[in-house]
Amino acid sequence: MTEDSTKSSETSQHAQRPDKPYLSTPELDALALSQTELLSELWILRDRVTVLEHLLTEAGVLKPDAVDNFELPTDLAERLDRERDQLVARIVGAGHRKKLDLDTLKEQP
Amino acid sequence: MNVDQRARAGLQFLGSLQVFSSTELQQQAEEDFAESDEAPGLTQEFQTDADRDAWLERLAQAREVVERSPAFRFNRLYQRYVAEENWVRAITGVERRREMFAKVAPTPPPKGDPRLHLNPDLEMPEYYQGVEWHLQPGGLDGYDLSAAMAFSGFIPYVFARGGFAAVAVGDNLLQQRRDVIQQFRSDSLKRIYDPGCGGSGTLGLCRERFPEAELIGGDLSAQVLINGLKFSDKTGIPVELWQEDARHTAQADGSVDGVISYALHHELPPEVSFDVLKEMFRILEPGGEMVISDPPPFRAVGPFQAVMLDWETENRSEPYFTEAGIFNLAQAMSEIGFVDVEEYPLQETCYPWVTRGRKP
Ligand SMILES: C[S@@+](CC[C@H](N)C(=O)[O-])C[C@H]1O[C@@H](n2cnc3c(N)ncnc32)[C@H](O)[C@@H]1O
Repeated sequence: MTEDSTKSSETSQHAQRPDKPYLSTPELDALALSQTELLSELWILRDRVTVLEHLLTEAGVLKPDAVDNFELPTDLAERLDRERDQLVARIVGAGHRKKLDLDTLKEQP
Repeated sequence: MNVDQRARAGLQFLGSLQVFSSTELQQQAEEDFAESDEAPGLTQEFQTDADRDAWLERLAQAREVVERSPAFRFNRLYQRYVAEENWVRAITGVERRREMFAKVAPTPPPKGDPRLHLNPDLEMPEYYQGVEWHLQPGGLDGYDLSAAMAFSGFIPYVFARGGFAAVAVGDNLLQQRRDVIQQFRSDSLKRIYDPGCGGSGTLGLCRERFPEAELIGGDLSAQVLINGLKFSDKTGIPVELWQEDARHTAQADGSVDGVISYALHHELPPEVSFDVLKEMFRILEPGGEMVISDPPPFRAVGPFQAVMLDWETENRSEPYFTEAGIFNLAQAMSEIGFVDVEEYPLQETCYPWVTRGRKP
């Protein structure tokens, strides 16, 4: 046998993604991959918050269920409401935006 | 020495995603396949060996059926995602602590150290040159902190959980190597050679069963051998490593009584595989044994598993996986002159798949 007989033209020398999508279309692949990437970022954040809570508790700064039992003061509750609404509007609304003009943008937080 | 929280948690996420995709999704995909009209016929067909063209045809037919399953398509998307992100998370994590990891990075020993024979003039074979194996950016020799990337990065957090290529979720990678080493018939090997020894982990484990044996390894990659020597320093297990092609080793005729080959042959074109076997036959003394572990050939598995193995070729930068799945190692060993040749799986999953024989 000679080495050339299987010198394969398909050899992925630079680790390209195959042309054929994994799901039904390349667009769907891209969406699924970015959603997976978001999930990984979400996990990294959750992991970090858990570690932080643990360290703060160990250091005596937090009581074990201080975060769960925390009663939000009005100003903080309002701030969280506002930021959550904005997050939802930006992310859920991303595909539904009808207007892109200066006035609307100026009104946006 | 650890990577930071971001890298650790990111890698752990990949481990979990791989486990989910290789259990729940894979099981669903397998059930989808089993329910197809074509499954019984294909399953029967896969039980007999065939020539290369027939295998390629069979694989194409089976792939068409297996890929109808949405669970399978997502399973493969996640496999690919994890295969790429392994490098992204591990390399960026090591880079954020470059200074710390660089201090302990393996470096080549002084020239003339009898434990490591580097050969800067070694010509890399055409089949090997430039391949970014397993999608590793820059290939095996491309990244100076590859030991940290592997041992503080993807090995503990992703690989150790299994669920990729032929490795099932929950497989114990170390124990599998030990089990393969148990396949030598002799209890008293004196000199063992490992072609494509990588970081010399398998040689290190040979020490447990053969405490007296001299351990010699060869690999094309200088970087993995340098890492391998560092590993030997750390474990205190002496090895002698050669940068060489397993088809043309520095070992004399009949100079070893054992050859262990682990996860090498699926990275070789069939004719190279054949020549490696011939070379191992040459360096073995009469009565010496060779034990090989690699992913199973297509004829040993059903159509579903064969489609998954074949997928590695195009999707995990494993250019010879398909050819290796068709190649018959046991038959090649017999042709070369090995006797008592046997092949069998060590687990129900057909992995590790062992092929072994003896020089008469
Ligand atoms: C998947 S790794 C396995 C390493 C090791 N045996 C283990 O089990 O960890 C395959 C190794 O084979 C080496 N290799 C490929 N072709 C080779 C050849 N012709 N001669 C020597 N080594 C080779 C690669 O550089 C790589 O380190």
